[in-house]
Amino acid sequence: MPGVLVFSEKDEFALDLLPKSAALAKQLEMELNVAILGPAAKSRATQYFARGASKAYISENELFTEFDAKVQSQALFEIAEVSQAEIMLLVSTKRGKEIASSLAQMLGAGCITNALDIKVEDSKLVASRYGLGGTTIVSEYIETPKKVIAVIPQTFETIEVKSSDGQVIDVDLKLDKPEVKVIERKERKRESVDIEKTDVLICVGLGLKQKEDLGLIQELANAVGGEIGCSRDLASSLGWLSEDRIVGMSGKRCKPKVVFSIGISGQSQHVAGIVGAKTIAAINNDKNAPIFRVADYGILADLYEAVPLLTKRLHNMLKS
Amino acid sequence: MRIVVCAKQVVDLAQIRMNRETREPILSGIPLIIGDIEKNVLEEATRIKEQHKAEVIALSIGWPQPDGTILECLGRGADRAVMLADPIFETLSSTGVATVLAKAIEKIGDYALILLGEGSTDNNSGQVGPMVAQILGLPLVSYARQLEIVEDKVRIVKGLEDCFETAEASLPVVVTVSAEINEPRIPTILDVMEASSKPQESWSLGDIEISREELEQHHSVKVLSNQYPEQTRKNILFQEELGKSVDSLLQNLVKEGVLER
Repeated sequence: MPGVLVFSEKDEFALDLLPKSAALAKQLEMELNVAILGPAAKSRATQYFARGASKAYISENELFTEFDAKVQSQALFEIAEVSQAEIMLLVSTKRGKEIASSLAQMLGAGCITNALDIKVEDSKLVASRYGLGGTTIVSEYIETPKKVIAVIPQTFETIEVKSSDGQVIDVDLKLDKPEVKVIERKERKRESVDIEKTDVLICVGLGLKQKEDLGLIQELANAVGGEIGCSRDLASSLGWLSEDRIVGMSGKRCKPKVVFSIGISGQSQHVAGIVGAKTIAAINNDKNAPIFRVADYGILADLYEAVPLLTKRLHNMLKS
Repeated sequence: MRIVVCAKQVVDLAQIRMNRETREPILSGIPLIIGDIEKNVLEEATRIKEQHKAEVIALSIGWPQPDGTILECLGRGADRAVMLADPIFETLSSTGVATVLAKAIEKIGDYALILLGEGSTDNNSGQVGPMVAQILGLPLVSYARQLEIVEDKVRIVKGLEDCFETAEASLPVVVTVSAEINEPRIPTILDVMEASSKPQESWSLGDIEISREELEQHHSVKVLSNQYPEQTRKNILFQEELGKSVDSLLQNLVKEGVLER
């Protein structure tokens, strides 16, 4: 029976993707199978069965102890064959995208990465993703017999799990040794802040003249009980804030109640990270700044005058 | 050492407007420019060249002809350039683009390092780099934010979501580059003037021994629609005396219930 094969290098992401995959497999009258690679693959299979997988193709080959995109895609290529997979659903992490692309090339399959949603329309599997630097939504489908789609992590609703049985199939894989050697791995220093969770987000951009002026923004954030986010340049190029605070296509996508966008021109790359906000308020001294076109409210003013005033009024307002 | 830089021409995103009736982007008449990430890739190639003996070759495929992008590459440190232009490229999916690039890279030959952006400025799919590596049978190191050549190896710091990995691979190798890797310098007037006198070649599909029929198979992803999401923003601009503007803003935010009093 043709199948849908689900895989992620991280169990949690694959598990999140399973309920949706199960629904799609049912609509397409396909079997839902998973691939699990690495240490303790067999015992990890239980949680996959609890979320709807029929068969788990596993390998505890020691080559999986260190992650290597090519080794993993080679393994998935072989598993795709034995499991008669027609649709490969992967997770669009950075590693997931490497795997998806290499696998698609090996299979001669069409490939969609960064998928925001997948649905069956006229018996076609249609995926959507951002286009044109994150400003548009592209809806597309793959025409090749085999299809590879990588979905952005944690996109779909999770379900209550119920314990269920499945078949574990230990696959004997023929793998080449990795060509890339990992010498060192350093965890990223995480700030305790999670700007995706805040109700009030203050985004600051290159309108800020020097790092010291972040104090003004912090005072505003304190007054309103919000967190600070920023455009990519402020963190990546200037290093004034940590990369955890980058809002945009290549950073966090935030859905707060309100965004105060301060001194941000509004390039599409950044705007993609705030379009989910309920309300957008922008302060900018350039009347033609694109940010005003995506904002609900705009104040045309120098941020160095407007921000302290806004902070003061908020203090008075929220105190009363 | 020969470095091949693959550069994509993209529509100038800042100039695209929306068709208000269909919510589709209006793409006709929008200039094609070099992508942002390509500037980081070229900067990195140039830095390597400054430390080692290296030749940098820019490669770009596209339609219409990517001559602006090629010129930009030459102004940003490439020694010579190869371009391919064909209408078939307009709708080619990633596997097709990777196939054409790989064939051209093979024809260029004698490569040690193939550099691409981690994802293009417009689609950001991140697919082409890994696919090129797969076709050429070369090691792949993605998301480089530091790159060093140590004898016959590259040593790269990869930026992943939760960690930084230092990885090593033997040349020849395919590397995809993150924007964090460097700060691209702005070409001088002299760089720009010299660019147009550097050697450029224009190759056809025949030159890289690839048939139109073979490429037709790489129209594997069909776009159904490309639209701006429904935009319901109010676009109210307060331009009064600043105190009044701030008050109006806060009144509205309170009214909408997004600010708790």
